[in-house]
Amino acid sequence: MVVAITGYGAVSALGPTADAMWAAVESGKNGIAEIDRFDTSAMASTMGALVKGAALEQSSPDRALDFAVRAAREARARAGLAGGAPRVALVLGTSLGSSVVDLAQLANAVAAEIGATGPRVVVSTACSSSTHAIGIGRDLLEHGFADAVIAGGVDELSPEIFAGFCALGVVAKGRCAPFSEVLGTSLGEGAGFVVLEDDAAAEARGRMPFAFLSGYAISADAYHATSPEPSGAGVARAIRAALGDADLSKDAIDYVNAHGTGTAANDAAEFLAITTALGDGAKHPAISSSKSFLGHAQGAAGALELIATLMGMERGVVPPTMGFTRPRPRCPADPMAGVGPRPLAVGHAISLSSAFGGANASVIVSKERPTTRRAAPIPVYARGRGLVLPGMFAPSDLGPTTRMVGRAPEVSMTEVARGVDPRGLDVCTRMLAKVTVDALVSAGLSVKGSERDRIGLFAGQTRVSSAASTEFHGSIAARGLARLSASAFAKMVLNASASAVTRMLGIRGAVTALSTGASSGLSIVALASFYLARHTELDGIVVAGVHEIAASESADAAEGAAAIVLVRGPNVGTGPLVRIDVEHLGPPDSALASPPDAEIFDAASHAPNSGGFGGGLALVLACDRVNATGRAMYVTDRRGSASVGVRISAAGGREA
Amino acid sequence: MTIAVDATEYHAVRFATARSTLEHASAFIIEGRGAFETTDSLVTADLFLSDAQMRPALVLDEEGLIRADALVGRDDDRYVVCLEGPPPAGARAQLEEAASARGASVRALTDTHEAVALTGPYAWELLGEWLGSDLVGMPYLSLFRLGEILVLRAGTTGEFGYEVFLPRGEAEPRLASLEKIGRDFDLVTVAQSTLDLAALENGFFSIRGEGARSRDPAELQLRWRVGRDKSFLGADALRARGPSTHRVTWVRCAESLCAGDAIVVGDLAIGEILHTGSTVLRPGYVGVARLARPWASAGVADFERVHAGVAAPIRTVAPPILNNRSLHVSPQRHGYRERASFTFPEV
Amino acid sequence: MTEERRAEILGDIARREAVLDQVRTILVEKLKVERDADEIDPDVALFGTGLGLDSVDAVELLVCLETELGVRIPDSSLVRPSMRTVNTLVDLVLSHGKVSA
Repeated sequence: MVVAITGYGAVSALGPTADAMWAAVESGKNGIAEIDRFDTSAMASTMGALVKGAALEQSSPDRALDFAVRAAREARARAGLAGGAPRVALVLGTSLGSSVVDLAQLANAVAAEIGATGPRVVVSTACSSSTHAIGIGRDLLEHGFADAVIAGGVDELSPEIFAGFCALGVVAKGRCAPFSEVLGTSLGEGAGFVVLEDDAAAEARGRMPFAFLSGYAISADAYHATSPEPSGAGVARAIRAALGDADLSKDAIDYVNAHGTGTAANDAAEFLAITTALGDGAKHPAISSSKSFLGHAQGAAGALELIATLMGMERGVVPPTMGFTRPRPRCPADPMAGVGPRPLAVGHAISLSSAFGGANASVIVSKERPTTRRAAPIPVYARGRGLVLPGMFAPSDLGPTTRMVGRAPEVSMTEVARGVDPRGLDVCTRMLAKVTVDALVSAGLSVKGSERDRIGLFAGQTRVSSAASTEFHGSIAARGLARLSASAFAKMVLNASASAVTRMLGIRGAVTALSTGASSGLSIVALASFYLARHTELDGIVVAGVHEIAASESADAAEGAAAIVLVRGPNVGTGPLVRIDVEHLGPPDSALASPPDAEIFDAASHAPNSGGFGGGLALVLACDRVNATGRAMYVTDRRGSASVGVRISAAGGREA
Repeated sequence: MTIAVDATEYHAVRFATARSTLEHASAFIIEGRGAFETTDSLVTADLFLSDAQMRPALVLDEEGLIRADALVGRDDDRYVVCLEGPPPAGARAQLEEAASARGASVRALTDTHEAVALTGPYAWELLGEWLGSDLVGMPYLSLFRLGEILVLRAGTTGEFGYEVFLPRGEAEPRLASLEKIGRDFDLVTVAQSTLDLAALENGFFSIRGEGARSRDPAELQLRWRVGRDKSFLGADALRARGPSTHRVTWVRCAESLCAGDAIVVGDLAIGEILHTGSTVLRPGYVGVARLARPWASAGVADFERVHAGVAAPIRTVAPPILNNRSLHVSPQRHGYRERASFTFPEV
Repeated sequence: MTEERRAEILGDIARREAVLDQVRTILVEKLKVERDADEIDPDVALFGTGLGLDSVDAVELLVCLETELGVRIPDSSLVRPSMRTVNTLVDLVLSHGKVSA
């Protein structure tokens, strides 16, 4: 399928629409200014790129909802998508871990406002969320689960988030100047969405695409909770994998829209990645950073920056890097520095995003319809399992109607993996580590040497670690915003646990954290299988559902984690093998046709109030059953923000 | 023995780049199924190591006293162990005995590699230009494999410090290229004693320095290298010994200091000097003293050292005794060739 | 030197030890260093080697020094050289903190 981009919309510091944003860029306006919405007198910086006119009395998530709805509406209108058109999916990237308890509710609210009646997925990998969201949108289209996808992201610059970044010492005192003398980033906010469709369908509707989405990829640094890997190897992997996905050579790329935050750590590492993966001797494609005028819009950054890229491509220019004076050592000599866009004919552009915990994402867009023939998606299998159950339960206890509640027993890290420092690891991370290791070991897979680049981890969960959240908010209450706990802030992103596990185990192929609310544990398998089906650089993806109970949670909540390993074929790993087929992915509550030859297993059976854990558990149990009986099972979940139906069938196995 | 060094060599270590050979340490690779168990059984530290991570540790004898200063690194499934203290043959024998009992094997890096060390606030830049920009971002206490070349970043001077193991076949051309590139960095070959003085000023343990006169980890402030609940050779004896009666403290003296000098407060003897060197940046001497516990504290100006019956005042200090240039040089912002255009705090 | 003078010196040392203990307590309780407080030797490095703290811990440490020990650092260039070991932190507290007489 050729994926066309038929619409886009943006709300940013430069204006309430994408057109306003581009007009501002053309006239050299910079969206980073003195912050007037909250008090910054005690902070390391006083500047940020705030959306103007955002009502002062609003607060997140309402403000974020407002941004997202406006940007999504603009995108939809530009694409000429009629209201209520069937199967319009929404993929929304956002950080918002610190203020929203259930991210999927935000997605549902946006979908309701804009009439997106298909499935809704939230990607929450902090600063790379919307770039990955756009890639996932492509996957949904290609696997036939949507006719159009509105994909992008949103984030608000709240005082807590601003204070958190300041505490980490990464915020520039004045305006950021990516690749230049001023060190540090400037934070921003807003929302950006693109509309993706099958090019054939767009043509049938009489729409001319603005551009085409040729490829995307994600990768993991497995390096540090907040600093990027200094050699840029993780970003280079994401670039190469995206090129592979698009079937393009590195010479095809004319322009790189960099993550370009302006911090010392990011810019040098990213430039090294670009020269390694896209360069040739001293030459490299044109590079610029849109954060130089949009600020770092966190979950919305990738989408806003891609939209700036698209709007430039339409006009034969690229967005500039503003605020540039002298180049920094080991950074590009001229990152399209200037006050306005620079003329450059761009055939193919790549947009890069990186995030806390090393979750990198990249998306390639093309001006002309791609003619390369990408390989067909391959069938996906699964083997191995890992399980952490609530305290009183053993797997053998699980009869068909057993309901599990309560906390899980403490996971001792020395049992999990030799050589892991247990200092400061929260319950969510410990459980996730244990099930990941157990799943890999039982699947006969090791993660050593170059194997590390070929294994990924996808985590389905509904919220960040509640212990970390309590610590974060507690530090604000006890010591004030200017002295909040930086280490707790670093955990206020949904992918914090998954990223920590990639560091522990050296998993570098991919890392992400997604939520569809209560169905997260099942939808994560669907989304991971779409990724693995196309990404030949990976051998397998560990797919886990996890839930850590919060102190305030109701008595019927269950804590635990469950994982299986998706593998590209019977030759990857050893042990009993099942085949995974995603049969249904639709809006919540949508009816699922039951296949005649498979037993239905409702994911809500054993642990209905358990975030991502319940779905993951259902998957593990279903795989067990299929392996034992040879008969197929159909695992379903209609809750949260997406209805999911995954068919699991026997596929023989391979002896160790 | 008081360390006295050449000022040019010292300047290279503290402000530019310096090159040296690894005279006293021997490096081994432990590999095979039991590599972890072998390494774990001998060294005192908890081996929570991610791939490419390193950690300083100790190897003790059966009495719980230091036999070797150890640096352990994890290279995928193999362990890199650098030992200083015992003669190389003895170190190898001990490792081989532990390895053969656990299904692992030992090889000495010096059998196949030639080693060179680079130190200095711009050593990272020299290393990057010499072997590749990937190396510039190596974190402290990490290792990096470039084909058959192994690089360890584990300096003990407070400046950027790297040990580079070159396979013998490549060593000559690589070292020639180092020589050439080094000219842009005013690279100077320095004696081990220069590095030893730098280590002393920065509070790093020297097994040939204070370790020649005391081998008790508790006394030497090396308990941080000992894992809490771990079992290793000498663990029982170490734990049975309990808290020490003395502790090392760093001292400075305007006049000379000699190992063996007594330390007194008034006419009460409270300890002795273990190791000392003559400082280059400011006149005087720096040393490590072993003091009775009640007196072992930094910030005291009332003690004296007694040498051949003559007393001179000393003051106890908290090392490092200087503001290392490497703390302020940032690979993302600074370069040796442009150093004149930056203002750094006084060292 | 008189007996009295020696006792005074020991008193000064005891006061320094008290601050050392306060810093150790912060390291164990707030920064989750996995050692008994009295096992943390004074000249042990904080970052990289020694206690193995990282850049995110550094921020937390400074905040705790301020809130628990009243340390206010007027000049940010003093920060790095003061945060080398537990003992250098004690020097910082003694020169810039609100230490009770």
